[in-house]
Amino acid sequence: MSQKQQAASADMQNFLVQQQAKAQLQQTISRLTDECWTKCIGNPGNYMSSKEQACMDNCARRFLESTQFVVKYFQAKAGGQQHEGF
Amino acid sequence: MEYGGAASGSGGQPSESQVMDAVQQEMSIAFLQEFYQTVRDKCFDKCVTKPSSSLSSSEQQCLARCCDRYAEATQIVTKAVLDVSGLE
Repeated sequence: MSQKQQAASADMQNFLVQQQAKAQLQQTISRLTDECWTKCIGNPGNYMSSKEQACMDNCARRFLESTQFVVKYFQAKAGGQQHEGF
Repeated sequence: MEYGGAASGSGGQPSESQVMDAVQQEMSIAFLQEFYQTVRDKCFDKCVTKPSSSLSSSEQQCLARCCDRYAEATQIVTKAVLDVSGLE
C-alpha cells in the first residue's frame, strides 16, 4: 500500500476495498451479459421467452464454471508434468 | 474530481465522507455510460441492419424492445452471478 493509502482512515480503506470488489463484480456481470446475449437472444421481442431466460441463466453459470475448469485443468497438468510433458 | 459544497476540515480539504460520496457517484456514472454504450452496440447490431437516411419507426420500436430485453438479461445474469458467488 502507498503512503497516501496508509494515511487514510480504516473507514476509507474499507470503502476502497468494497468499491473495488463492487467494480469487479459489475465488470463480470457486464461481460457475461454481453457474451450470453450474443449466444441466447435472437431478435428482441416484447418479452423474453422462457427458453431465452433459461439460456441466459445457464450461460452465466456455465461461464463461471468454465473459469474454474480452466484453472483446475492447467493446475492438474502442471501437477502431472513428470508423467506427460507439456 | 470536484468535491463541491462547503468544505469541511482544515484548509478547504474535502472530508472523507465527501470523497466517498464523490467516488460512488463517479463510479455510478462510469458504469451507466458503459451500460448505455453496450446496449447501443448490441441493439444497433440487431435492429439497424440496413441503415437509411433516418431511424424508421420500426427500427425505433426494435431499439426500445431491445433496451428492455437487455435490461432484463442483465437482471438474470446479476442474479446468477450473485447466487454463484454466494452473495445473495
